[in-house]
Amino acid sequence: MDGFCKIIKEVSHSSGLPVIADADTGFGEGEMCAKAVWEYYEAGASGIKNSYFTEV
Amino acid sequence: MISGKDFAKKVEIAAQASHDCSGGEFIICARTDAAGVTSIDDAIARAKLYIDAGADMIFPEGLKSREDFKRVAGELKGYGKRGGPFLLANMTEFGKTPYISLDEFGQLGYNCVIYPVSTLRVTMKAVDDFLKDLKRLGNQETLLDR
Repeated sequence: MDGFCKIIKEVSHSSGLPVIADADTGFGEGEMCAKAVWEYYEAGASGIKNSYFTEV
Repeated sequence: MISGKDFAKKVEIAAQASHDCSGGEFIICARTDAAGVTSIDDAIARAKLYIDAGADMIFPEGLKSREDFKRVAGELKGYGKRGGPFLLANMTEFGKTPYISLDEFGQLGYNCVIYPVSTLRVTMKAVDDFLKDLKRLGNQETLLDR
């Protein structure tokens, strides 16, 4: 998750654009899904942020 | 593939977290791969579960035709308490999806289209061209006008 957040932050800050980021399966069960949302949100600085969660 | 019920629980937790950290501004998109694993009917049923669980956007992966995209959009249009989800399409190269234009996706009811590895593929081709030219010619001058 740290690696994803680092890239999200770089892309968000350098582009100033809304960012769509893959959150895989949520990095684990419930509490990790919530943590992913918080961390992804805080990593992105502008616009609408979006994460997609995958079933598989 | 995880059960729809278990994944809906994850979506519910993510939607609650979005509400807590951003007042719901952060969009939660739920991807379903069911169309390529079980059936489109299953993908639509799962998408509805995820919308009920709080997903703002649905990403139906593995659709094989324009008709598939149209059907999924038609079935999900207006579904749920908040007037229907946003829809995301994956227009990756060499995948199962035919090459559909942005305008056409819009007409089919999709709000967002991703090209997940396209920039990287184009970049790596340019890198490859440069390295081959460097090996062949010993300098980079031929690249300056590209």
